[in-house]
Amino acid sequence: MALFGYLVRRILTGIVVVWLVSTLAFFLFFARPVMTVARELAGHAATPQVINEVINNLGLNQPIMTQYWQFLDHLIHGNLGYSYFTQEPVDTMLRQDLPPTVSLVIGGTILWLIVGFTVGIISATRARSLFDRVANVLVLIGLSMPVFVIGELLIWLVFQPLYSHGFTWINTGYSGITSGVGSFFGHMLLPWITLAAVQAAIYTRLSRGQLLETLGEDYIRTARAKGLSERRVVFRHALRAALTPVVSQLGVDVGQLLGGVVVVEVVFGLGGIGQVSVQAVYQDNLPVIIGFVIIAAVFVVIANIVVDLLYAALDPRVRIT
Amino acid sequence: MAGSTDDNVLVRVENLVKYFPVKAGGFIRHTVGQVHAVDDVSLVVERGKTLGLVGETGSGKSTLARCVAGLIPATSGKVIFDGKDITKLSRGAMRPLRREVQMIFQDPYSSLNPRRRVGAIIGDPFTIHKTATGAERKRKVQELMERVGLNPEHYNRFPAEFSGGQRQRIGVARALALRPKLIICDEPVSALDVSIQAQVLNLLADLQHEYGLSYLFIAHDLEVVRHVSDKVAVMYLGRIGEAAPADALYERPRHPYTVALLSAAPAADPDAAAARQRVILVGDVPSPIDPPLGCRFHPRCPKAEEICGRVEPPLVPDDEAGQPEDDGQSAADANKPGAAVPGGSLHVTACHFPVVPGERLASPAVAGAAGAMKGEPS
Amino acid sequence: MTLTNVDLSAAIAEPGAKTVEGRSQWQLTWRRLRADKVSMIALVVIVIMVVLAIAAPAFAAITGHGVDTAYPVTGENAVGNPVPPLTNGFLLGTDSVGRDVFVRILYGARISLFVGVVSTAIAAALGVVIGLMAGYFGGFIDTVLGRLTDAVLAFPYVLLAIALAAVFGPSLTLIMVLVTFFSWAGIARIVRGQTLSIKEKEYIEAARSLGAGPFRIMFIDILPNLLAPVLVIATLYIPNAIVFEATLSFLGLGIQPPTPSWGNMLADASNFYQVAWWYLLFPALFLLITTLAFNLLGDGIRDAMDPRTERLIAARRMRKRREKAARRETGAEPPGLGTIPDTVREPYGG
Repeated sequence: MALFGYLVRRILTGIVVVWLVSTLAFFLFFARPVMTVARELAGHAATPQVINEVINNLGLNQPIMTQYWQFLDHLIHGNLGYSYFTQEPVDTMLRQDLPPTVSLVIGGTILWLIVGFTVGIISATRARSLFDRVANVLVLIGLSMPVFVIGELLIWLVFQPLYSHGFTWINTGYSGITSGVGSFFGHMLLPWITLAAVQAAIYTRLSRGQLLETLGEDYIRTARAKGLSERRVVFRHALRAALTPVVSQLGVDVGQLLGGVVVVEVVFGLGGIGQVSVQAVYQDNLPVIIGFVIIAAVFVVIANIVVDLLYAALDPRVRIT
Repeated sequence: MAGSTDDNVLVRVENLVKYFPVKAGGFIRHTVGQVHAVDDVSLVVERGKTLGLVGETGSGKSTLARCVAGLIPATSGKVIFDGKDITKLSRGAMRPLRREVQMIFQDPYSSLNPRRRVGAIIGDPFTIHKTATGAERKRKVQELMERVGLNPEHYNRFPAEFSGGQRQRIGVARALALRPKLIICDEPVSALDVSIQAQVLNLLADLQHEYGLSYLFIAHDLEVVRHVSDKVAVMYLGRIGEAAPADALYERPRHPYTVALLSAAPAADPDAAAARQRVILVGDVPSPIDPPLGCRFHPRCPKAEEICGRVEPPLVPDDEAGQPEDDGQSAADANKPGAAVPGGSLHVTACHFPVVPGERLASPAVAGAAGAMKGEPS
Repeated sequence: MTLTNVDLSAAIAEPGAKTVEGRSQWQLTWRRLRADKVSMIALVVIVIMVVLAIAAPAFAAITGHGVDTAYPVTGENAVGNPVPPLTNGFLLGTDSVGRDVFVRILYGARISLFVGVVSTAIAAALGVVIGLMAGYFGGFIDTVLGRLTDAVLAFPYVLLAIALAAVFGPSLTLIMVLVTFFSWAGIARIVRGQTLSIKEKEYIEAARSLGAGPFRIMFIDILPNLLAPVLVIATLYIPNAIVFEATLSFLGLGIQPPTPSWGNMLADASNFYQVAWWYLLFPALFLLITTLAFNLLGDGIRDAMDPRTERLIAARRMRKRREKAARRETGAEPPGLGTIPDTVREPYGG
């Protein structure tokens, strides 16, 4: 029951956050001279005719608060505006571009979590062994590298040689699951690795550190002294205590993940909403950007709620707050 | 209380109460209980004299000290320092008063900022109250260092380079800087080796004579307290159980708790120790969140009877409790207002059945042996 | 109750010991750091990088190649592609339009180091102030500042970068604002935690009892105790800042061409890697080495400040174990219980 109350509270907070972000975005973009706004809404290549059309259609000459209520109204009805540049409604655009992003996020997250925790746990249980030392070095390099560098290096060192020798399974660009599972994985493999790499490094280090600290605690020493097998000690006793703080960190990292998503999409040409938004900046295509901001905010909020629930399930003390 | 005849009273504490709220979570954080740290305590500290305050951990003595120092706001009651009620003062108004009341802390290792030099630490009072700057401040600090027995050339050293006893001296120097009227010593020697304790105590005594300081001296070690105090008060669970001039308390303790405490202290003379009865108290100190009804000590008291669990005994001078009192006080003394307050000249006890000289208490103490009242499970 | 006159000064000023000066915390840390080879190498690398960056114009003069000047004759081969390293006086080859990669990398280093260090410094100052106030005042202020910090920490930075770049246009100032904005929160959080624990120390209570006001306590009493962890955190945040700048420039939201930044160079290079691998490799290498160096140095400083690290404990145990084994061999130590069975492992075993 406490968990339910917790969930409700988190959802309410989340809605407030999304509203806040939308409001901020709105005022950031629209509280400017009408012509500037109109030009950006109409896109780079707009003619004065289109610009006027924009001004009229969107009522940009109205007082700002009227525009704001309209904006909220549209938002609640799922209308994210119209991209004049590409001549289609924003939500259609984003819906098309969602699959690559979602595939990337899900695959990348699974990979990052699995690798991060596994390597971290093994490193901690075999501290100072060769495995641990090698892992440490890799982690350090992973931490120091920007995502795009990893991506570019993978393209240059893995994709390119393979491709030029006729091994075309691994490829850039996106190929949906509907067009073939094998092809899907071939296209997504390198992006997943790229996205997961830095995060995995962070989490390896985190989980290793936490687990080592926990393993040094007295109650673990007691468990060992009782004669429990090492595996039992680690899995039943140490892991839970060690990993709860790491899980709580996940919520924060969801935000960072989004940055990685955008970069990976750009590097590999996946055409997801991240890449499209970056392009929209070049094109001065404002509606798309606003749409992306809001969608991203919703995504972050949802992910945070999921993580919070996970954390509350693991650590009962949290539910009281 | 008539204040005009209290020329020799520096600090008067009246019915001081300090509760700390216990909060619990739930949907909204709310208060589920109170820690009764200090529960209606009155006392006086006379000018130029030392009032010793003894008690176990949890008795509230440290909290009381901090209320007197103005570091913690009181829940109710008054602290009247030199005629002014400091419990009502704002923080800004308190500031000038800080020059008159200083504290010396227990732990020499954590009461000095490890990242600052000793000269700066001792010079803090001058800087904060803007009474001396630059070269003059340095000179004053070095004078202080010399006065407490430190080498003034160590002005630029860090606390880590000093021993425990020396660090306490630094604390003393810091407290002394602005020539306060009252210094509250919160277990100043508890963390020191016994041989060093004597040095520091002697220093404190010297300073008292030289500067006419008053001390509120808190400790849990009875022998230390006896050595330094003029008057002593014994606290238990937020209240004062007994208070008297030092010798009277040690030679003729009335409260069973005091008797038990004294019996536990090692005595220098083995014969006297053997002659003294050893009273062992059973059970733990109850929690200050939920103090026992009636006399707070009754669950552990060997003399407890039924009334002890119902009615809280008042703190009264002994002739009212039926025992002839001969402390060498003149009748005039005994009739002065404030004499019957802890820290005054009378021997006061809060007990329904104070211990009579020569009485032997049951030991190991069994609660409520004489009555139907059962105490805390042991 | 008076004292027999003991001359205490003699006890304190030990003869012949007057030159025993206690070492401050910083000196001890530096000594430990000096002994750490990895950290020292990292420090040297950073110094070299800084020198190179400062001397960038000098290198431009030496090689005779300007930073923005294209050299279609010497810098491109017959088919108009970039030339590889060590041809025609181009140390690291040329880029897509025939400019000197080496010189551009050095100018890019200026930007990266500048953004990295300055943004982090400003963020550290901000973070310290906010963390101090949140930790010291507690209550409502802490809640508000804490929520703010959490919000900023969790905020997807690219989102804001995109939005702001769309509104204000990309520029160096924008990047610095963004990097500073995202760095202060992590620092503030650490500072707050440290402040919370320092606040409970007796010397803080002593300062209050002396009448010190909250700001004096925060900045004169608490702050000196914070400097050590803040230094570690700041050193570790610099590579984050550098990477952040590079990423934004890579996406086109940061430094705009033709001004070189490692990020935008790599963006350009990603289109030409098939014909000019050096254009991709060398900026990436410089970026990687710089960030790695800062990370290693930060780790090293942290370990040097707190000698009770796992490494030292492990090293001590290893030494003891070896000594014990050696003693067993010479017969000075009775034989042990045999090897410890596999199921009971030392946490720092090795």
